[in-house]
Amino acid sequence: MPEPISFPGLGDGPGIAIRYAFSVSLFFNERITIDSHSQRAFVPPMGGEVWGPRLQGRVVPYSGADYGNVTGLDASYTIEAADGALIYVMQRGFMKRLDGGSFWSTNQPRAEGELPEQSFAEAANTPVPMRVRPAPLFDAPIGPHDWLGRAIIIGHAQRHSNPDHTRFSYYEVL
Amino acid sequence: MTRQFTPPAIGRKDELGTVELVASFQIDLELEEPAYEVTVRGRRIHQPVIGGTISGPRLSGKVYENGGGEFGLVRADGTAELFTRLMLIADNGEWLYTQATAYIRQDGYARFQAIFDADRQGPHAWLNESMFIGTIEESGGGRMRRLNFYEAI
Repeated sequence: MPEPISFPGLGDGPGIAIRYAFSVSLFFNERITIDSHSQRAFVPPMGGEVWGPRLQGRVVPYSGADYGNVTGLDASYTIEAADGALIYVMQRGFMKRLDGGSFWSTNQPRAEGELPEQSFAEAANTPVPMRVRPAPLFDAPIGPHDWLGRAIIIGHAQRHSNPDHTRFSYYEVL
Repeated sequence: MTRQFTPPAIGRKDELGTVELVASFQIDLELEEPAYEVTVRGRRIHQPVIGGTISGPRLSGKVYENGGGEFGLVRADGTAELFTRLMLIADNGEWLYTQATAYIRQDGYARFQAIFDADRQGPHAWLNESMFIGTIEESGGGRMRRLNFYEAI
């Protein structure tokens, strides 16, 4: 079990601690955006892996997607733990490019009848400096993984290219 | 669950970057007496917020008294899931929105995650760019709660 990492509170108030729990990789081969007011995205994982001290398993291929928009991440998908348990992941979170650019290429004027350019997909093979702070909620069956449904969890993520994937690392808020 | 995918080894490289938590401010909530209903989803708690204050080095102001409240659900495992929606008024007069999801467990664990909406052109725009997590302290027989907000940087 990793050591807790502690942070001070305000004044003489209580502080807080987190502890590394596990990591998840998600691999992608499509990224779609709808040119709606919210710039709704659709980024389904082909699959992925789950590893770390508190959970091991895999991401069920195409079990869902990130359906986020300009307000941030909004994913629903399924993890299959090494013991076969299916765990529902609901992940909201903050995401920002650090180079001043936009993730969205669809919110541009277009000729009538022309479909939006999905160059959001091209970014898959482009290194994108970004800051991601995911805060997932889980629903796990009663048993060894049910702590996931009772813990607030915060993490970080890094996107990689060739092949297109994102690694998330999660910390239990103690 | 038949579709197969074998992740390339590259995806598993350990990458223990850091998440740092910065104590940012606290919100002291005043709540009405809770009302309970047994629903198909569990025991539902309705608890409007009637006021409160925000204080701390990075934000101060007040909680709008007609701005929302806590919508809780006591689950089969005894854990209460709280969904809180609040409207806040910062000291500069600006309206802010926050929503928080919390777990209140029978073992005393009370933690939340939260996001904010703030004016993109105002001094609190940084709130739009962060996830917050924090601790909850109860007092006043359930009519007062202090939420300690930490920015995850």
